[in-house]
Amino acid sequence: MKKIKKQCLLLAALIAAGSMSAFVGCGPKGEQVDESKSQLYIGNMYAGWGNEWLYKWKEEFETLHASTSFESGKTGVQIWIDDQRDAYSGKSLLTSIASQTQDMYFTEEAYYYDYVAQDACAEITDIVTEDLSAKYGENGSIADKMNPEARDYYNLEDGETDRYYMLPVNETYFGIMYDVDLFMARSFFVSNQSTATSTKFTNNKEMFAAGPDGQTGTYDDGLPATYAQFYDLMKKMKDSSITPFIWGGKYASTYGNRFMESAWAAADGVAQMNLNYTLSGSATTLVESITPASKSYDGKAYDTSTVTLKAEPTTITDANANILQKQAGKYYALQLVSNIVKDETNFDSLAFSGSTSHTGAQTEYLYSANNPNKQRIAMLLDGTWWRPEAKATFENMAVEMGEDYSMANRNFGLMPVPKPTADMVGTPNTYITSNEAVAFVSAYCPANKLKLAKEFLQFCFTNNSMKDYTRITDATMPYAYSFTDKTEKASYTASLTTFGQQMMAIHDEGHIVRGYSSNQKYINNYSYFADEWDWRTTNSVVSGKYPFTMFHEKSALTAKEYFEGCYAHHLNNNLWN
Amino acid sequence: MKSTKKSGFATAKRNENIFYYVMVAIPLIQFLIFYVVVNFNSFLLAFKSYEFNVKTLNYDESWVGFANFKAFLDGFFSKGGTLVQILKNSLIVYATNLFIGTVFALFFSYYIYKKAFMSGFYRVILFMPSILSSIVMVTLYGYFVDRAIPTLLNKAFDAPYVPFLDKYQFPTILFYNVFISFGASVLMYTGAMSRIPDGVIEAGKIDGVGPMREFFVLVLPLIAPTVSTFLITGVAGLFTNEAHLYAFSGYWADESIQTLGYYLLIQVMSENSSLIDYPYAAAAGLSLAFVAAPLTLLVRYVLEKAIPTVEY
Amino acid sequence: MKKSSFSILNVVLFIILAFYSVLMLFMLGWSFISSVKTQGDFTVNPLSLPQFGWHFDNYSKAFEAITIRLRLEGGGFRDIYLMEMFGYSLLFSVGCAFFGTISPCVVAYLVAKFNKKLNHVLYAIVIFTMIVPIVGNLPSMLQVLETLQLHNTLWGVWLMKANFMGLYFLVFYGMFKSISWEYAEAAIMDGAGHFRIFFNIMIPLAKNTIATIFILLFIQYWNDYQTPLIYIPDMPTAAYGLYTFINGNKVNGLLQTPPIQLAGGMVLLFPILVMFLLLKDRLMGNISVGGLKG
Repeated sequence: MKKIKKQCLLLAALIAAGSMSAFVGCGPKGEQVDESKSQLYIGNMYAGWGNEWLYKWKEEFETLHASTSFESGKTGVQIWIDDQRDAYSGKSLLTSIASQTQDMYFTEEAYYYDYVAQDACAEITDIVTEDLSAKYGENGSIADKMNPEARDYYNLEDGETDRYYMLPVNETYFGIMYDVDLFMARSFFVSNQSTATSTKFTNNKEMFAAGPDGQTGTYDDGLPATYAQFYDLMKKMKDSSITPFIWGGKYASTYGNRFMESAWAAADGVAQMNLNYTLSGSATTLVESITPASKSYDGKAYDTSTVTLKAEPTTITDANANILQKQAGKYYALQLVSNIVKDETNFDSLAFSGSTSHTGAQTEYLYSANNPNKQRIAMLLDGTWWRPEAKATFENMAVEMGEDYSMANRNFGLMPVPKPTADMVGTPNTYITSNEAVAFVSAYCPANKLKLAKEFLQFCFTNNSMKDYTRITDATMPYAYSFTDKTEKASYTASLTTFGQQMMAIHDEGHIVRGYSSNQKYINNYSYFADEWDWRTTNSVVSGKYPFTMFHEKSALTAKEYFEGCYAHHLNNNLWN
Repeated sequence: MKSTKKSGFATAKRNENIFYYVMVAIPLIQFLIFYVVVNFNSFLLAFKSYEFNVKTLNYDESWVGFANFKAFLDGFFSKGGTLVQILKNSLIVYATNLFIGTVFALFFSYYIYKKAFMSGFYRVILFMPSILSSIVMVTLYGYFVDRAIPTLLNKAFDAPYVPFLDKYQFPTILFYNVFISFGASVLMYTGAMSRIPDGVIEAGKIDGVGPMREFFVLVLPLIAPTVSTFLITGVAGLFTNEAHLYAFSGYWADESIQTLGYYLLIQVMSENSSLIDYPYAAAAGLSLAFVAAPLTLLVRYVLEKAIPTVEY
Repeated sequence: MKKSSFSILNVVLFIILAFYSVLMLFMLGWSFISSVKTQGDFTVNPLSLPQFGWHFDNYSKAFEAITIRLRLEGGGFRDIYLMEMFGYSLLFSVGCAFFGTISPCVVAYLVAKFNKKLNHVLYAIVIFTMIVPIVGNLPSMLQVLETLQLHNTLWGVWLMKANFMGLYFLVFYGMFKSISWEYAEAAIMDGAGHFRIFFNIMIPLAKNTIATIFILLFIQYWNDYQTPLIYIPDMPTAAYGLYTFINGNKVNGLLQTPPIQLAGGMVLLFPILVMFLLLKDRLMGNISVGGLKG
């Protein structure tokens, strides 16, 4: 009994100590609230993109409206940004938005229809369709400059009036990130001296081949144009003691799926890829048959099977869209990945480690530049947000190993997925956006703040704000940028990093699959189309794994088998019977 | 005399009733509010379906009877159904926890109960995983099996560097589940063993019973009620245990390693889920309960028959 | 009890337990060593002792970096630091553990000791709720708390966690079943009422079990980040703070690295480890579940 008392006393003392300390060390730091100004609160999902751009917008907006009164008795604006990753991610925010206290949000993975149906967003049609010429000297409204596909999706017009509730913030792509400096140092660029049977490499810019788009003077010069050249490149890397790839093993399936989606889009092009979302149109790339073939690289057989397409186009409707599972691009993506993954010398040993996340892979990738215990890694599979996401790792590396390793001093690029065959070289490089960020004003924004919140939202999508965004993040926004003349355009482009310039070029070319669907069948079976559609397959050897892990574990599995399994899987689904 | 006795009895009865209902009232109200009211909609949801209405910008609800249940069952019975593998995994997790986890827990408890060499130290170590937060624990374990051990094997035996959460992902996660499971169970079993009267064991000693026989013949039957409680309540785990997969892989665990509990969890939480998926998930949960309830009762019945009641 | 003599069983168990302990201690030791490395050291030399110096300042960095920024009612923000979070952790964990212990204790006592029809219902509820998985009830839970004006209050979470269902009901039930009713009958003879019997006789008899369950629940809530995150966002606990820290919120440049995250984990572990070592005798060997026979 005595002992218990002693222990209770101890516990009580601990509790008391803890509670006392509760009042030590707290208090606001940094910027102070200025009661004479209107306060605007913003929740920012702090993920890959960080918050630097948002602080820039805040600063600009506060300056612009230093003497504007949004509420009676108050002049000027103070904007507060709260960064949280999980609480402000699309899914969590939707369930808790009624009890959140921010006036507006920047988030990702927010499913538009869910948000609208749950009345989570304030209607913003007025600021989206307002002509900006008087206020910001722009021609037309935000809606006018918005990408037409995005506009179709975000404008929930009821036949008479427009209705907007959210605005898309950026265009992001998933793909092969490559170390430009390493490619230069080790001559990993494809030379224009290459022939159909042998690939030559160089680091002389004058001798770069035209790349997959077939045009010289573009960002893809010197990059492999075909799968065959890409395999040669990987061999060249390994011959130089460089490991070609790493990706985050913890999410190998999902990251792998995204990469393969990019490869699918790159092979089939925008119009054909879009059929998978609209479920209507004419399909011209359906596979008739696959003829097996293979080629040996260092004793490993790489699948180089060729595809024969159906001669006649097929009309796609809600009723038969599952035949899109036979799209050639889908097969090619599987072939490419099976070759990369089945040869274990192509990737770092942590590429399938269940505890190595995407940020873990970024760290391994960056540090491999100076790691005595590991071969240097040439390419990373990730999204275009990876550099801002790895900001801390860049900073640490610069502190530990010298300024040569800072973000500013290292160069990376996005490698367009090569074309499957030589005859496809010269078609446009096609990309697919994923993980789109969105902005909206909360439906729970107090009435007296609504005007200010909308004003700020509108400001974020003005031409100047967009240019700031791209300069800071290297990502473009899905709206038309305008420049007074060619000189301004040129000087603006020059102010971007090489990565940013590449993003701007992709934006300008506009061969982007956006993955929007307003098709009722698609909307009402969203998770089926968004999750199962791409890589789910039925096959005796394949159960419950996606291509990356499947090819990794079952070396006997062929891309053709996987591909046929996909069609079989969707043939059986009740949705199509 | 008779009447006073009766009235005394009535008063006692009344006092007893007052006590009983006053005491039970608050927990029962808590249950009604925080369980019945909160979960009522989840039950109804199982019989509904949502469709997005472009005009009203809302999901139209409709009653669809057992359609969601059928969709869930199709996952088991239709050609290419994906749930068969998931059920298999759940059974493997359950069996591992039962046959390896429980058996080791019993032996460990016996060791501690007998106050054998270093048992004080061991019981602290066995309880350690319970006090570490699971995020920290899984992070530690992940780095450990993917980096520390492969590096060690590589340096010591020149073995190829293979992270354990790569090709041996499922067994490695199974091992983790057993590895951290001893906290509460060893606590409970040693507690039960400590209530065994010393006389029983001493009597066994006099009869020349060795440790192995002592464990199986004397100790095990005497703590059987405790063990059976664990076994009975554990049946539901077959359907609800997510086997720490969320901590390991977030919402992206491969289907080949998913368990039913995890499958249910991600139906409404994963990146590409939407409100449309809630009815299916609710129906899936209820379907599993329909199986779990009779199964639990069956296990309870069987154990009751199999385990003789020992008074001590 | 006498120390048991040498036996093969004990030797085998000793070896298995030794292996277990080595693994556990190695993991903890490795984590500690990793927590004082730089990011580069951790990446390049995962297994060795720190090569680029022992960075104990990782701990002070983690300590300072675990912050949550709260929006104030009148405007502006307030940053909450780890010490204040420990305060909330204590309030949250002690309250939830207290009500979470009392509730099953009371109901189990009633079901074990009184012969009422309602008992069957209560028992069925316990079994039913342990079996039926519920999905997607978070929005309605929030709605109920909002309606009762309990959202974002400690009382709200305490009440929410004061349910009598679950394994601990069975633990209490088994324990009260095994306590003889003769104590109560003797007290009734002395004119004691049922309330006095419960509070003055039964609770003291059950104190070991109560204390153990309380501590188990306390540990569970101490490590629970989800409940505070959703239901008391204005009172961030240390587990919640660590969770947002590990998940990279408000990433403060150099801090977003595995070593500092591990250091953060150790900071959270430390108070509970101290408490555990102080109370380990109380925690160990005082709890048991009886049979399930109603």
